[in-house]
Amino acid sequence: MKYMNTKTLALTVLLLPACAALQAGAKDTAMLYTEKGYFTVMAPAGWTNTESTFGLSQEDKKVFGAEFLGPQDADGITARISVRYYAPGNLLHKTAEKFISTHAKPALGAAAGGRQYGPVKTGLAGKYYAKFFERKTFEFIPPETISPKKIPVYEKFHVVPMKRGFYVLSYHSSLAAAKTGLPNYEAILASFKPLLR
Amino acid sequence: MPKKPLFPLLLGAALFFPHALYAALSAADEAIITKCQDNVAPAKGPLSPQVAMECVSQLNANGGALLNALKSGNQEEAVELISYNNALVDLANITTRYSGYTLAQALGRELENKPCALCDMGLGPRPERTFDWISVNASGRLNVVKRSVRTWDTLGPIRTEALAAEPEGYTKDSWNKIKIPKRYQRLSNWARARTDKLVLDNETAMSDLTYILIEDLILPGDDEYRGKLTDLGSARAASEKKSLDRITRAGRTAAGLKDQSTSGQKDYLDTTFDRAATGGGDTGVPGVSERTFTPVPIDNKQARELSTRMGTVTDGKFTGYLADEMKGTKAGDELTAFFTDKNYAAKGTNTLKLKFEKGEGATANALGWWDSSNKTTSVNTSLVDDYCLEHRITPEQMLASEEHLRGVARYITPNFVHETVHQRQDAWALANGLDYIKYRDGSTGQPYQMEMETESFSMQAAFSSEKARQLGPTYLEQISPSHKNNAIRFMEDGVDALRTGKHQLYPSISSLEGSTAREFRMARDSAKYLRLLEEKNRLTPGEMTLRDSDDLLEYRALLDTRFKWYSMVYQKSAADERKLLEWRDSFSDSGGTPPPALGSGG
Repeated sequence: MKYMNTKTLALTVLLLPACAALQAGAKDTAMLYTEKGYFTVMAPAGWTNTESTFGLSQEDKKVFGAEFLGPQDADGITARISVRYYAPGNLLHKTAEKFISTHAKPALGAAAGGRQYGPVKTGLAGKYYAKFFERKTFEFIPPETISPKKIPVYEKFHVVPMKRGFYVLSYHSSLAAAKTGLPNYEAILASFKPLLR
Repeated sequence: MPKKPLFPLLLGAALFFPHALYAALSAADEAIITKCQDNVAPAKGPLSPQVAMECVSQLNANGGALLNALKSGNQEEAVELISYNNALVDLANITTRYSGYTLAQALGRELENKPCALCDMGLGPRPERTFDWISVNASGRLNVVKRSVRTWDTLGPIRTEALAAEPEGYTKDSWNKIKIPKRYQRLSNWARARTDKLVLDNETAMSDLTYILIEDLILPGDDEYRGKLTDLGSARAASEKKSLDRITRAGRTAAGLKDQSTSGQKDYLDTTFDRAATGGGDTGVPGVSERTFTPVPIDNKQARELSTRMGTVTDGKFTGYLADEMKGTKAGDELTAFFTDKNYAAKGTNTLKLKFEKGEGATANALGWWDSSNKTTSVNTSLVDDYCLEHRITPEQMLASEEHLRGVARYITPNFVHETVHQRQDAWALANGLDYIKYRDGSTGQPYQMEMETESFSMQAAFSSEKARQLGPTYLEQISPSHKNNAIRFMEDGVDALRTGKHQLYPSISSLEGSTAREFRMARDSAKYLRLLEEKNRLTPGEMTLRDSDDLLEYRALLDTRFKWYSMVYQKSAADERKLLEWRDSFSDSGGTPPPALGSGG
């Protein structure tokens, strides 16, 4: 795909390897985050965990995890890294295959409005086998307005299938700021340890 | 075991053991309440956002069982516990999720309006009072928050020297005493004046000052001054930049031109090449029309006609192009049922008053809006004008065409769904006695908070998703890009995708936690008075005056309503999400090539 051949490749080449990113400073200041019974990761310094207290609970949805928020750019897009475990019977995505089919290709059947999807590849999350892919999407700001600003967004996903359920690690950032925050994602990825086998 | 005879005894015990009032609680529940109370105790409270989050979740778990138990005990303590723990969750979310002007607006909203629950805990009203707390609970965000609220130490020498020289003679102390919106306004005023001076002096070089001015010119009305700064510079440089921009833009767009519709190609070419914009010459692209088109805005009479034809409810039946468009979808059928619900009709809360009107002021850029005081759903006629421009037709031609009337309905229905959900929220609040906010015009309502927007966005996205499944991807090209994006987000990650992404875009609206903190803080004095009345009524009933008895009933009802509102809204948000996720499941299919089967990790 055109997108994979240009932007993604450039990003990949320029980035430090994940372990090098940790050694380059993230290791000293990163904080161990434990989602009890599900996984541990090293959360990047300065990125904060957040979750909503209303709507269905994690237990209701059978989706457990954390979302770390980084800097917000001038357009109001906040970089975020999420790590989640989807238990069997969860209300969001029944299987890892289903998650990939919903996110690695247009969820409603057409790559509308300039969205671009990279191919699904095989790689690692920590020491674990994973499928990963990248894509370019958009945010519209402000919402419900006549002429919203269309902001390009870069996203990357790693899906780790397990015997029971699966994990998803993902990175979301405005395209303009993607390169800056990506080492934090690579560092979280390298430190990922599932507690369920 | 009957509870009433035990109350006087329990009350006595409560003087020594505060939690003895919650006699029905298990030891584990009592431990939770103690932890929640200790977390926000003025003297020893750690004010932990994690504990606060745990408290909010556990109070509302199992249908709000613990919340109900808490309510039946010492309401004064309960009110504080709920208010303060919710306020801490809200503060954590504001300081971690936002930055810049958005963060400043959110903090100003919660700290600088009375009553302020956070201020009771020493975290306000000035934002500087939160810095120590942030350094403990969200240390990585401290600098972001400091810069966002424009605290003196982050302004830098250019600004501080200028502010010190202003008539107010600002110092660190005097500056940090003023409210956040005024800080932004003051800096904007200064930036405007300095911009005018730069223009007067024909100061064309970009400097640190220029960048700071751009940073401060972010309020409504500042566009003109940002434009002045942009215009500064030599005519030659500006001209070169313009040419460069145009060439770059043309190159970028040309690659995607072949994928656009004919009208899209025409739009692009019209705006790119001067010749085409004036209607002359050959564009050089086969199939692109040379015809010029002068847009005609819809007039008031046509707007009234359009309103009638788009949607009416007569004799309990919802008809019109909007009704046709909504029919056969889960969200659409549910809202159609709302318009025909006899219980709501008896109260007059489901009447459809649809109005197409030009948005002005706060609504100038809005697609549509629900006005709870005059019970009207409005659609911005700018949307209709956009549709007519896109299709190169006049409003008159649109009104004469069945195809275009259906096209307009398709374009605006996601927004109509969004606003109708707001109407239904108002009707639901009234039906359940939750409309305790009294407005000056005599209307009533429930507290407006972000979960109401979450429901509206989710219903709208569910509607568009289902239509896309029914009609195929071409449907997505017939609605607005933001509606399309909401539908995709909803199908990918459900309600959460819309809940977390939208709040920063509504700076004037509190979250459910922020709203709860305020509502229960407002009820604190009432709870205190009620506790005294309850004690008097139990211990010395003979001394109760007529007014005491009336007040007892009135304040019991007041407190009941607040608990009921909190509990029902909280439970409703969970029920809504469950329903919407079930709908989403039913919209998914396995269309396309299935991805490769995965092995398991390890």
